Amino acid sequence: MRLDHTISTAFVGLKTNKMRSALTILGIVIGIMSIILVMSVGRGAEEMILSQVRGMGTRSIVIEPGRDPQGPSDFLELYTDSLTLDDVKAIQKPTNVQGVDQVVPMVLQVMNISYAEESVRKSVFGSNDELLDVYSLSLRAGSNITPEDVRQNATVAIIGSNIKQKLYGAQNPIGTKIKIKGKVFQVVGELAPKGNVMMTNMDDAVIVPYTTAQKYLMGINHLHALFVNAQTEDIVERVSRDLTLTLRETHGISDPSKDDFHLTTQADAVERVGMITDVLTILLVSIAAISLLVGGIGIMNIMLVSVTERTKEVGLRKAVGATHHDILMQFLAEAIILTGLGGVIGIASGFGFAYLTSLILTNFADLNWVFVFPLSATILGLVVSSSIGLVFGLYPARKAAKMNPIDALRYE
Amino acid sequence: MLIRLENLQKTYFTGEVETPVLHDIDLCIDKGEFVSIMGPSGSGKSTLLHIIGLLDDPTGGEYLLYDKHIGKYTKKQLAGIRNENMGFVFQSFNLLKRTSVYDNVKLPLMYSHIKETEWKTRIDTAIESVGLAHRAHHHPNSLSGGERQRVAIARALVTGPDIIFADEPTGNLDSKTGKMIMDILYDLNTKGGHTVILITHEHDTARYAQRIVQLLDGVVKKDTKVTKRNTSNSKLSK
Ligand SMILES: Nc1ncnc2c1ncn2[C@@H]1O[C@H](COP(=O)(O)OP(=O)(O)OP(=O)(O)O)[C@@H](O)[C@H]1O
Ligand SMILES: [Mg+2]
Repeated sequence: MRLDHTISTAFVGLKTNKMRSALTILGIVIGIMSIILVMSVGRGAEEMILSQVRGMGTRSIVIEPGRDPQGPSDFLELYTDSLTLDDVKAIQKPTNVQGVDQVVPMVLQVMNISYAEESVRKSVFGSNDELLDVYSLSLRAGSNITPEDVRQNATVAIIGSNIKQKLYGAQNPIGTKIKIKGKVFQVVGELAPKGNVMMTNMDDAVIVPYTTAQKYLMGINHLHALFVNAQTEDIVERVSRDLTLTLRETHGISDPSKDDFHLTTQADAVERVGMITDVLTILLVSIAAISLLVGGIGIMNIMLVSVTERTKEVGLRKAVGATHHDILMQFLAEAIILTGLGGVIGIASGFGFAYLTSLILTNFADLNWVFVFPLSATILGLVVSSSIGLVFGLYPARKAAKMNPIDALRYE
Repeated sequence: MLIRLENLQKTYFTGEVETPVLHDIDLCIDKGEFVSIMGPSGSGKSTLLHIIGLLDDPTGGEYLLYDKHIGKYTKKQLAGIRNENMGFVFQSFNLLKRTSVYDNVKLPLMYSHIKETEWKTRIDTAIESVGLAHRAHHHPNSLSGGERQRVAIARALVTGPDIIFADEPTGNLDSKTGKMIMDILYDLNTKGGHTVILITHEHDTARYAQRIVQLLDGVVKKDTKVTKRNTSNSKLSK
């Protein structure tokens, strides 16, 4: 039989059992749909995080305490106290590191922030006047903290737009006194809305001089991070190397494997984000693949039932001249059309849901999310779903093809 | 010689149980003959027909089809012979229920080498020759038994086969409808030149043939010429 007739015959076979066909492919639809959804949303998340990472600027280098995390146990070391103001001073010496534009020290902790009756728990950044610049933040009202504030441990604060909204509503916050961890601070500035910078929502942050934060709020002498900007993008690598050498010297480290700090450039961060989202995507796709396996077994089961039900039909077809190959192809075509159709529906609904997700995230969660249509996932979805038909349809189809014509015709 | 059986045997094996059905069949059928096979129930008539029709394999003896040993044909060739040289009419019609008369008749063509451009004429001619042109797009469910059997006959002859096999084609029909079916088969033999091999329990039906073969317990007991052959008086046939 010619292929086009095989296919039209298969369609007739499927149409006679519309409801069953529809239910049978549901497993495939759901499996493919989840794979497409995961891949699209995964890529969307990657794009979003990457755009934030890129937002940190191509000139910037972040120095954090602890060894570059290689495994889960290394994350504990992030909280060592190895970074101090001595490092800042050392870095600022042009004889140590040349081409440094800004060095911004940072401490960070979540604390209670209250004004009048209202109270929130949000991130408090201790930094200097240059934070606004390196994070590309702007003020909606008031003024920035000054180097003078830093020197004098001044109790002044800049508040993020969400915090202003929650604590003050429409009222002007500038000049008022708020309490951070019970200590009184004067509000000098209010940030314009910005959203996420380096995975932190700055609309929900409060900025105070780092000296004040260290002494009054946290009782520490070390820093949680150093934000260094190189003068130009093409010297980032050289500056990183010099920074590493300088820090090793001030920390008295001779064996590089004993480093108690690590540097992250934008390029490093991009690579790391890609790795993390890849691992997550693979994990989630594997879970979705289980549903495909279940769907495939469902297909096999239904095809077996269908072959048994249609034994007489198989006998008749053989009696009028169908070969082993003709019958095999007919049932295989049914299975492949069934799963292929499931794949197409799955792909369409997967992208539908992914699009919906992107709409929700942009409109309601205020994220800078873009809908991604990965062509590779589409092709993968189609190939996988039809292969499932091929693999799980083969056994039932062979069973039908092997029937002896007269035994099949006599079957009641 | 079209069909030559020598010492043909068939034994069914069901698990441990052996059921010998055909013992020692010697039979020759020439092209253009009309042969009726008779015999008591269980004597092996259908078994013999299925073997001759290549739907089942003998377990012993010789079967020469077109002067060639059937063992020498490949399975694919046998399917091809069933398709283009043989047509089957069963007692229980065996039509595809959810498919129109037209598509039922088309079925053998889909497995044939006959060009698709010829299909429509062939199908229309076959349907017309059994007098069902007005029913071509009905489904078998809406047809009477006699009409269904005529669809089966149209299907059997659409590829223009040499041999038409009919296993009790009138068994499920009343005598008047049965007669109409027999008239068609008679005309297919006398006017169409098809070889017809018929199984029946009724003497009257058997006498449409030129020859009656009597089976008893798996052997040919009698093989006689029909002296006063029944003839068709159908208005359907042209
Ligand atoms: N697949 C099978 N397995 C075992 N025995 C079988 C099988 N098919 C037929 N038989 C046996 O072979 C014998 C002959 O069967 P067959 O159908 O050829 O008889 P028949 O002459 O056509 O009878 P009827 O007039 O009732 O149709 C019967 O005894 C039957 O039980
Ligand atoms: Mg019988």
